[in-house]
Amino acid sequence: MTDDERRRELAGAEATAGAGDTPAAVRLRHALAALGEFAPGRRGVCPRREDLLAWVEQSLAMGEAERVRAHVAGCPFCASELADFEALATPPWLEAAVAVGRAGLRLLTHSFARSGSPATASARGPAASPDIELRSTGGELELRVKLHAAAVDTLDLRVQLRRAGAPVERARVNLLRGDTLLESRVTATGEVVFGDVPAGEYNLAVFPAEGDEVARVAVRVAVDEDPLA
Amino acid sequence: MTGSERWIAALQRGDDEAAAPWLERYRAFVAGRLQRARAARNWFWLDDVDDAAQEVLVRFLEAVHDGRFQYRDEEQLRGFLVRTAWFVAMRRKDQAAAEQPLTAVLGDEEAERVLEGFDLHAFAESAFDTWHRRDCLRRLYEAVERLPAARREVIRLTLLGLAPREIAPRMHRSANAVAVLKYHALADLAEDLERTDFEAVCGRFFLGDREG
Ligand SMILES: [Zn+2]
Repeated sequence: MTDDERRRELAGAEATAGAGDTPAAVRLRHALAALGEFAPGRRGVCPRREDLLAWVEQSLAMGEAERVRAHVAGCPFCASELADFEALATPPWLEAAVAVGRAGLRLLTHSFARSGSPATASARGPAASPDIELRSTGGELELRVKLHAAAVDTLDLRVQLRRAGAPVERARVNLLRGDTLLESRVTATGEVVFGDVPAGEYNLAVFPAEGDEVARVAVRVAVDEDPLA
Repeated sequence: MTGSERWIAALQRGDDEAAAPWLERYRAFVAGRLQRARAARNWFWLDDVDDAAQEVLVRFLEAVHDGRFQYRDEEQLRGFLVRTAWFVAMRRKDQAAAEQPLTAVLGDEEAERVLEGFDLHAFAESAFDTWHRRDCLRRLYEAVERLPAARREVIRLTLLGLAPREIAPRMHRSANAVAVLKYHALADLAEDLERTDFEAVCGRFFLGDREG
């Protein structure tokens, strides 16, 4: 639908009423056109997106920053776009992309949101290995995710939550694809195992026995096209 | 030299092919972030995450080639990719917004919050000045605020992109009743705008060269 068609549809019955060349009809059409032009969703009086970003990253001069702040407070459309940016910019506790193939697992990327010190990964760079371990700590909690190549195109995920050095029993771990829950398990003997997970994008949400979700882990599993690369 | 520095140097020499496997790691990173944000923020207008990730990488390559991106460290590289991903995503959202109603672009819950809470006055007050558009927006919104309550509400929801049949349940009236109410609201508004010379001052923003 073009803007014009959309405007016409939004106008509904009065568009017909406003047809014709009488001064009243023309006035009505112009009022509608003005409403279309100044609709807030068009962002015609919003700061440039570059300035929105500069504001969240605190690189605007004070007066300018105040203007953006005041605008965002009154403009749900900019507020929404900034929430979109936050969603992109906020890393999960652990985020990793691995490739699984004939030679085992390769860690493509990883980052650790909470841990002050770099987490250990038993495999880095291009070399393939059957196992990769990722760790991240937040406060007294530590999360460990072990990845094990199960076959040429699947892997096993073992998840362990530790508090003050000891495994947390009865912690719940959900395996999701996007927001869709695939499996939900509770740790017994210290960990949860999801076996034979095929290639895809997964989220793991981890909850201690009681209380809110403490960690979100994003794992992207790709099939290794060229295990020798 | 770290791995990334070496590969970016290769890109700057134009040796894109050698850097391709290194670049794949960042494709996975970008696609992962987009996927997560899509799920968390109900971006159902983003139907092809891999295509969007590809566009982000293309823009990154352009920035490297023409010297706009100089590698400092891993965090800065990821930050650049995240910002680029946001611009790419927002542009795709703009395209969707031109074709779809508010609820399809923002998701039901957020659209509901906007429809409930959007305040004409606060928005007009916070408007940015671009080529005097702000003054015109204020004049228009002030005219809307002078309307009686029900007529004002119809226009407020129209400004947010709702058609009469979508306004109807929100105002507990039939779609026809809303269409009639909207007609009267527009007539009132048109009269007010004429009285205040709105078109003479601001017509250039919305009349184009079609008429007026
Ligand atoms: Zn805005």
